[in-house]
Amino acid sequence: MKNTVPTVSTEPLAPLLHNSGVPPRTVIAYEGLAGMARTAGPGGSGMAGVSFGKQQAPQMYGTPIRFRLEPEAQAQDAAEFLGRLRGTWSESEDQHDGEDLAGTDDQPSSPEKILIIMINRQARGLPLPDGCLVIPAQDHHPLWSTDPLTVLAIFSKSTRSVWLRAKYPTIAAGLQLREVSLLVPPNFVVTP
Amino acid sequence: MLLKRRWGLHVRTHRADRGNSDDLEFAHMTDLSIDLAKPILAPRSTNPALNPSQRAPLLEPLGLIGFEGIEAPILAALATDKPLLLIGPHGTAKSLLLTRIAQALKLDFRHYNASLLNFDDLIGFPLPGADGRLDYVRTPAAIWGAGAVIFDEISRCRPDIQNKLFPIIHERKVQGIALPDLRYRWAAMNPPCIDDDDASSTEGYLGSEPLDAALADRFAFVVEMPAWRQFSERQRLAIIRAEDTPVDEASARALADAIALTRQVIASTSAPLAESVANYVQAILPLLAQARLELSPRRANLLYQVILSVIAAGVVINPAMAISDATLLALKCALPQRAQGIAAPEIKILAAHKEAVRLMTANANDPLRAILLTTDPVQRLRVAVCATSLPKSEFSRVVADTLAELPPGAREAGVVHLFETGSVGRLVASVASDAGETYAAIAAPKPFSETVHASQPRLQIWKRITTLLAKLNPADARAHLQANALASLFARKALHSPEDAERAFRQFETADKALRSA
Repeated sequence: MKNTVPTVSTEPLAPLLHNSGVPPRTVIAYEGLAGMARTAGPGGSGMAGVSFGKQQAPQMYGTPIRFRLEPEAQAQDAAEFLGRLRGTWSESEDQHDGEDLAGTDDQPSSPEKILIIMINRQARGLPLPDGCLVIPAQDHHPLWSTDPLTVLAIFSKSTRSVWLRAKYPTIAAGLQLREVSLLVPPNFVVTP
Repeated sequence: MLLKRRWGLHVRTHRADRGNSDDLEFAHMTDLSIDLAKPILAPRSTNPALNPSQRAPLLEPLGLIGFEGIEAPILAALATDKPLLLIGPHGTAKSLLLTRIAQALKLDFRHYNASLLNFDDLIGFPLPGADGRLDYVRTPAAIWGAGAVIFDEISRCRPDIQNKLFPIIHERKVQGIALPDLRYRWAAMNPPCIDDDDASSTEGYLGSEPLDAALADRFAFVVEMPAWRQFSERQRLAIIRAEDTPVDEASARALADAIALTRQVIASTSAPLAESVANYVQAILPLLAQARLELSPRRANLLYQVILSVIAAGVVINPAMAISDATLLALKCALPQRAQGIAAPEIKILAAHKEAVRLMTANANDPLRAILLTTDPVQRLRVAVCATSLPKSEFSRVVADTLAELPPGAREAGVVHLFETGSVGRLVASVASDAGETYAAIAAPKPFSETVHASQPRLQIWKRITTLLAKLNPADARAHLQANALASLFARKALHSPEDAERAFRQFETADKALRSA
């Protein structure tokens, strides 16, 4: 926390106009507990009418981790993404050791099916809780991964507000995203 | 669903008018949850009156049109002599129904308009007797010697009169004196206004006051009258053209026979059905409580008896009726809330019923059983989170229902618990997303700014919030969660008074503590 948090302020919206008939108005605002508590102290008499400085990064409960799909991995559809993945795969075979893109029991034929199997497999191995809050990515969030398959396993299994390991991947929606962050609760240890 | 075991229960019935006997096989009554689509009786009876294909209306021959849907509870009330309360708008034939039944049964009955009733009308004039004891001058309208009483407009009567009616309805006594001839205690009322935003309160009557909870709880049967829109075209025309004709002898005898037959079926089926029905009642009580329909222990006992009697009446009226349908009908007719002006939405009753029936089939070790029977929603959420073997759909349903039931503050603590335990990952996406929306404003402060007039209640609420938040220790990470939860409730306009803010603050604290101590 760098600065105090503006919590409540009372600002007259117009200069004093006696007998103008305009009832007094108050601006109430909240940006977190920290600033409020700091100024309240013992015997504090409430915050209305007190103004505080702006806080740059609001305090979060947990660890934010960021996922970014690098430009060279971005694709319009599953086939293109798989093509790009194959390119990187050959360069880092140890990373996806033994991964057979088409080698499953039911022999999936379409790129979407192949990619879904890969995403599910990748998601199962991620050292994350089974569900996490999705928050807008910010530069100060530590970058956790740029591995395309890992990132797509996050993007395609995220709704507007949560990432769910067991969710059926929506590849088209996932490929639209460029960057998201997950907020991992403090009782989970997150290792890259 | 497959039948695992059968009772092979036989019930011998005897029709006095025909002198024949019937062996009825109850093939599907091992458990209330067994094949719910099946009829109560196996279609094996040779008695035409009990043949599913020959269902004969019971009340229509008495000139009572459109009451098929409530025939079973009415017949059950008549067979058990338990107090019956009819609720319905004006002109729905409440008084007609009771009067015609009394006439058909040749009862010496009194019809009192409770809104105009003085106690002297009921008992006659007090007169000192020769031996110094107080006696009453028995006027023709007095209750002494009556076989049935109808207290019409009971919700419009003065509270002091209502108190005096209480022992008549409850224990067949007036002024402490027993009324040995009094068999039936009936009442009728217009629906009172319901103080609930969700309810269609337009149907309530301003002059119709909610019954006192204790009085309402004495009516074993609380039956809502069918509305005009529920009638078929034929029934509407029949009602329009109806004339006041005397009750014919054959119809009156058929009703008396049906009552006698119902009593026989109750006697025969009560023992074998007892365990299943008791389990059903035990299961449904917490489920109804979750729907904010709390029932007293006395009502639990009444519900048990009402179900047994309505199932028996269902056998007599319509052997094709499924056990589950008869049970649901009994449940609807055994809830006193409608008389008390408390909304009892059909959808919630149906959901609770379905859940209870499902619990009947659940294995004793099924975690869902333990979850759904946990009344306290915070504890239920805790148990559900611990039950990792619960399928995703079940877990999601339990979580969604429980979160909806939790009060503001506790709900936010529940959502925090889901994320902290990682169990949000066991939810279906839609439920998890909703939880995520809530958690987003708790895990990180969601800044907001609002301009309010000094005179607005929102400023007072906010002032109370700031006072509450000033008590928190910013060095404690959970204090931030509590503060953010309260602020988000305020921002979403979920707090309507400073007291609401105080309650939500405490609810978060209590629920969070309970969930973390697990």
